[in-house]
Amino acid sequence: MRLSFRGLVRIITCLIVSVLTLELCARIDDWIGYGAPIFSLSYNENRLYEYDQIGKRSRPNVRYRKWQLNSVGSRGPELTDGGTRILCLGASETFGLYEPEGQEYPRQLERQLNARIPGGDFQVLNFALPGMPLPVITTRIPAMAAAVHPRFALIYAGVATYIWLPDRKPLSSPPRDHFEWRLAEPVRNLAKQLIPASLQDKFRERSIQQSLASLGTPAFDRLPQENLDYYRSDLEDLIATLRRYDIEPILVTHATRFPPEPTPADRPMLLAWRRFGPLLREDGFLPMERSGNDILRQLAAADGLFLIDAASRIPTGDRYFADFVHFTEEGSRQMADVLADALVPRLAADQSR
Amino acid sequence: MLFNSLEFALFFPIVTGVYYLLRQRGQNLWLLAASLFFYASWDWRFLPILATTMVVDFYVAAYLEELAKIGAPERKRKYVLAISMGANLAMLGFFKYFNFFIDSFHSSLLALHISAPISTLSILLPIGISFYTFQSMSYTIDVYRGELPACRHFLDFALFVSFYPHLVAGPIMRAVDLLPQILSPRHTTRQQVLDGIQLMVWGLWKKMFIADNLAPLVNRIFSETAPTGFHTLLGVYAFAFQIYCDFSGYTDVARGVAKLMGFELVLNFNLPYFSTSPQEFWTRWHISLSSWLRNYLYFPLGGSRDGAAKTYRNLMITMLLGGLWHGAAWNFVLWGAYQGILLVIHRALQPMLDRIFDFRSAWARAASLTFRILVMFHLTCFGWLLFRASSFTQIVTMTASLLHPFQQVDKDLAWQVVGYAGPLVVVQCWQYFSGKLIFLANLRPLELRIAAYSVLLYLMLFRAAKPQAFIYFQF
Repeated sequence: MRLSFRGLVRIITCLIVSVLTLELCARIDDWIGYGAPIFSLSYNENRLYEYDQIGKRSRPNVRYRKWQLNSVGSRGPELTDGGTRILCLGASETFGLYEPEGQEYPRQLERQLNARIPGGDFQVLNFALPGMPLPVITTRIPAMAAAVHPRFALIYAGVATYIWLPDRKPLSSPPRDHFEWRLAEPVRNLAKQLIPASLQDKFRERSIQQSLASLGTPAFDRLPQENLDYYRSDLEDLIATLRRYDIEPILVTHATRFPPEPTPADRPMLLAWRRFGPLLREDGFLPMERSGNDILRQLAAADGLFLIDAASRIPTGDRYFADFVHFTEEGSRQMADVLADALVPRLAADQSR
Repeated sequence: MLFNSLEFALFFPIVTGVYYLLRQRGQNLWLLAASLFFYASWDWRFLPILATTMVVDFYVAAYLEELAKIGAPERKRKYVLAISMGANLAMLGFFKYFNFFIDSFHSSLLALHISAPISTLSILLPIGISFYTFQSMSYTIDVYRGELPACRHFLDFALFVSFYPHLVAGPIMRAVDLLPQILSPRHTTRQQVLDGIQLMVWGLWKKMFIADNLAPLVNRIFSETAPTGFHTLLGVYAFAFQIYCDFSGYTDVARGVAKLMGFELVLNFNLPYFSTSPQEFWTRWHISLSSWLRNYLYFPLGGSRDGAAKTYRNLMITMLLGGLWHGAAWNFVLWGAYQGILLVIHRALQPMLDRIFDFRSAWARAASLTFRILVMFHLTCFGWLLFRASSFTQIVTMTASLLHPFQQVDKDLAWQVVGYAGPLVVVQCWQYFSGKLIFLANLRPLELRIAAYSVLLYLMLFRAAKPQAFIYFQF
């Protein structure tokens, strides 16, 4: 059967019509679901950020999908007058990726504290942002302190950002806005559901190899001491800055979905994690976490800081973690429980004083 | 293997592709193999049960024809027919109703304070047994009646019983409609391809976007211990659309798949919620079952030939058994009884209703039509409450809550129901008034048709809920 030129044009036209219709559907879907602009070039998480000479910070009064930032740029409802304010500092684990709106652990913690402490008036402010390095958080503390006058700051920051040291440096210029297919994300999600897990692992391995090739650095088995030292010193800077502004730092050890001795079933998820830090081999991630948490414990002991050991108290597994470190709704509830159990006596004592 | 599964997305093009390459005999053998594979994909242990139906009915029909040829007495032919009926009903009764009757018997004894050590069996219900048993029975009855010659080739007959598009959830095809298509060469026309694609896409959209998205909402409301009137109302509306989209969606896909291979399966749903009376409802809802019940139960009982009282009795028996066909539970019997009562009342009142609704002006006729459709829809919905409820207590609780239907209005829930069912209602209004059930296949220009299919595709792929098994598979 020979295909005429006219027939070919017809087929191409139909394909174009189909793709454009699907794209329009995706845009209308975003508009109905989240009020996203139909005709904007792109619609991605960069809507949540703005940039200044220091780097990335949250943009006040903005919404992207389920993530809504208030007038001070924290995720959650508007602040009310008075009460004790607690900052939650960290990255995507704290910001909340998988939980439904209002179920990320800072929100759940706030509800628990107000329910469990009689006469309590606590506002927990989620000032975390995905991929936020510690040095940037530290530089933002003066502005946060001036805006919201917090009494405490919970620091829940993993060490994974320190696998590739340039990651800890702030990105000071916004990424260029360019056309993005809105259809791409639903297609990607669908592909993840349809493509067999073993094939997805192959894709991940390939992506890791490509990243390594572009970095031009060989992978390492364990996180180098130099990187851990940076983590420690950045934490010390953050603690010092918080104290300078009369904010009491509270350290929280970092939890993951993995048991102390990972099984072969954990490998795909370790591989998925490695895509965000290709320089470190999969076997090095859990030792890295242990080293990071040891640093937190040492700092707490040395400085007399309040430490909450979430890493040892939150159960492992996919019931609590949607991926390697990000909580499910139930995981967030568990985290809020752990934090509240530790904080209630401390805050109650503080309140009675 | 669900029609809305990845497995079927692989199975269907392979089976259809190879089918096009073969001649009629080869096509039949290939389709039989594919159908048995399709059925075994649920559970291979169901195959011997299906095979028993095929073997018994094939040989009984052949013998019946032989007896007719030699002029054997009617009584003897009836006995032979009874073998087929007995075997089919025994299998249906054992696999589907054994535990139900044992449970009911046990409950009755307990109610009489008689304790008996009765236990039920752990019986696996073969999927689609009610559908293929009725279909196969229709064949032997038609041969017995002389309406159809017995099939000469067992493999062709086996394909008639097991033809995969309609094997597990219908439509229930009479042998006079399907066997001739199996026995003669088929040529898929361009129009069949266009119609088949529309039926498949439209059916999957109804199932994946509407039925599966409404399912969690319905489950939630029907699991509430004390639902408000508004929740009950929405739950019943949502279930009305869920069950319609689930079942008619399956049928549409089945008819679409068959059309692509040159087969024509009967229309099973014809805008049932636009019915103006219970009688009309049963000519629009699950048409293949209601036709079967009419031809093989209602008419043999005497139909409407012997006066009003016997007609009412026949209607009640037919609908009670129709209810029981749906499942081994008392709420299905209750639902059947309710449908029977509606038919009886409507039949009794029909002359009066015809006089009341006899309007001259166009607007009065339109208003009366709308009114009757709405009343019938709500009567149907109450039937769905009986059908979906899990206990008699729940029926009472939910019915009582309907006395205050606008108590605690839940706007979010209402918008969800409207959001999923609304587009269907709009399209079906257009279908009803235009009289065109196939509306996408011939849409011009082609680009507009592609755009319409793309919208449905988007909703199916990206807005579908977690896939649920088709409700009617349990029957």
